Amino acid sequence: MAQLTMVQAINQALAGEMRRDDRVVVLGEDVGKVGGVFRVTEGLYDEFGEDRVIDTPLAEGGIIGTAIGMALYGLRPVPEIQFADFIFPAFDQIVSEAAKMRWRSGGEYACPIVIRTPVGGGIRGGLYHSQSPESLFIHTAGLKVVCPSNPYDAKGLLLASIRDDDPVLFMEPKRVYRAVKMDVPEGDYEVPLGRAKVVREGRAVTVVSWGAMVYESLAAAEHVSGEGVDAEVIDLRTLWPLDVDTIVESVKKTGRLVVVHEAPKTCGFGAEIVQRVMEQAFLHLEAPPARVTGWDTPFPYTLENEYLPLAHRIAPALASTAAF
Amino acid sequence: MTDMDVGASTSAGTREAASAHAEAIVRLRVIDERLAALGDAGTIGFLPRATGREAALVGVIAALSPTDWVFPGASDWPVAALRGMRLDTFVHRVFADANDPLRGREAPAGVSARALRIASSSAPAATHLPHAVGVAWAARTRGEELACVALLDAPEVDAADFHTALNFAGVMKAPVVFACRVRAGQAGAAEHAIAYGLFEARCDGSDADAVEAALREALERALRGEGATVLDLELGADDEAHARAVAALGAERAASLGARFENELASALAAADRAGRPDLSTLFEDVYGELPEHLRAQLAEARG
Repeated sequence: MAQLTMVQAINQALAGEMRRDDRVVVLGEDVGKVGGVFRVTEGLYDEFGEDRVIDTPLAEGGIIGTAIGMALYGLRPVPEIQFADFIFPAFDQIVSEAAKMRWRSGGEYACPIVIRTPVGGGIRGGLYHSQSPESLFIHTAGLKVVCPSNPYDAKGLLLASIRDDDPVLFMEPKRVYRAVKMDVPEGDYEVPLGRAKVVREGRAVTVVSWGAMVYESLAAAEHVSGEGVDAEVIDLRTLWPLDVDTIVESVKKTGRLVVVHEAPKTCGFGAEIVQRVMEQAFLHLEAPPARVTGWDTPFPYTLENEYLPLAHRIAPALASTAAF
Repeated sequence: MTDMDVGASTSAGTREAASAHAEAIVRLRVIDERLAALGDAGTIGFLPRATGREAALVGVIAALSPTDWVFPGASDWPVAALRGMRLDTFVHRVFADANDPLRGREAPAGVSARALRIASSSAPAATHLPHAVGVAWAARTRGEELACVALLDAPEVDAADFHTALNFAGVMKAPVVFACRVRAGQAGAAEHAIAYGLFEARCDGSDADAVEAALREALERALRGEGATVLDLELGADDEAHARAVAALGAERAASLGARFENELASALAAADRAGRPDLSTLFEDVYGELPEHLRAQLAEARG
């Protein structure tokens, strides 16, 4: 079995699905001949041609708007937005059109598009190449939001997303793109949407995270294990629909919850996760749920490691929550 | 129940076609006035008047082949009736009642009919225009001979998605026509075509025959692979299209048609009055392809 990076795993998923299903098309800025800004679509143009791998004008609203049209026709478009920071010109198309298409048409039209976009910081990208805007999309009825943390999940979740009949925002943690290699089966497999994974078992405190922050959460868990705090770490994988059951089951065991995410704290997805736990496991809680997140500021360039909720900020939260 | 087909089988430019267009305009005026009265009375929600746009709508729909797609703008509710939706279904739609194919989710002006190749309309300005490009492009690459017509009104020319759609249409060489209703004193859309390598055309938007002919020419050009067209439908005074239709039919025949159609409409309206409201479950269904757990729980909570 080959050891692949996330970039390679996503590329393999796209190529495999394009071979299997000729309705699948890829479009975006420089996704064709160049192979995408991160080379995720490298080689697809040569194999599938310009009718299925489309270099578009630099206009995100047009990329998503035309992808919606292709989906209405019956294709399975996979548009790429170069950075999630640049998704906002397409926000109207995603939120007002794609998300509402099935509902407003009485179920006559579906909009099965998968919007791939790199997210997150830690690559010295500054404020317009680092953001994590998941909450804005989770808040919109009709969208599914996915964020894999590793190459295996990235491939399986992408295949499940393309085969899903609803619009999916597929957020790729760019810090992980080439930082991790792992065994990825060459063949076809799906990681089902809506299922979180316990990536570290423990009994003292539950940590919920996703994307690049899973690694920081695991590092923090290792750190506090030396202090006798046995943390359980959950990788959400799909942010919406949320796998509440896995979280609640864990919190019922540990009685404690820490949520970690890169996005700003206020109205971040962590707040929703905490509230779900309050509703379903309140009497099991032994400590106030905590959030370790990005600050309520724009994403900084020089001070990005002070902004990000890295392990050195997570570990004290685990220790204090466990000791409460 | 009566269909409102405008007579797509008639040949463009013939006396039969002109008469069918005139009849469709007279019928549309009956619907427009009756529904406007219901809107004023609060029986239904707000429905923008079709006044002044009748001939443009009739001409556009007449020019389409059954395989072509039409992308209605936010006020283009008449396209469903003009393209063959059953009158009773159309009225249920406007009433947004239990028999509404859109399940009561859209305000009266909303329109969508997959079987008639009518795309789902929405209120934001010009957001539907890139969708038309996407469908047209997809069909072209799949070897299916069809074109898309996207309807818009002149103020939408200011919106970013208008320019984005024209840009993508030019780059993708999509078989699409942007048909823009332009009233006196408004800047049109056609003048922007040259910037994106598209064809520009204009016609009398109060003359259904002229609209049909201009759109057919643009559609044929698109299907030959020559590119998209931005077509300005230049509207006259609000009553001009209707007055021309009445003159073409003769006042007596127009009045008789109007009365007959009032009767047909009355029975559809009575059926809508009896239909009742959509079930509460329709609020939660179709948000996703399958009802997810959180919406299942919220439906149960809403039922109390």
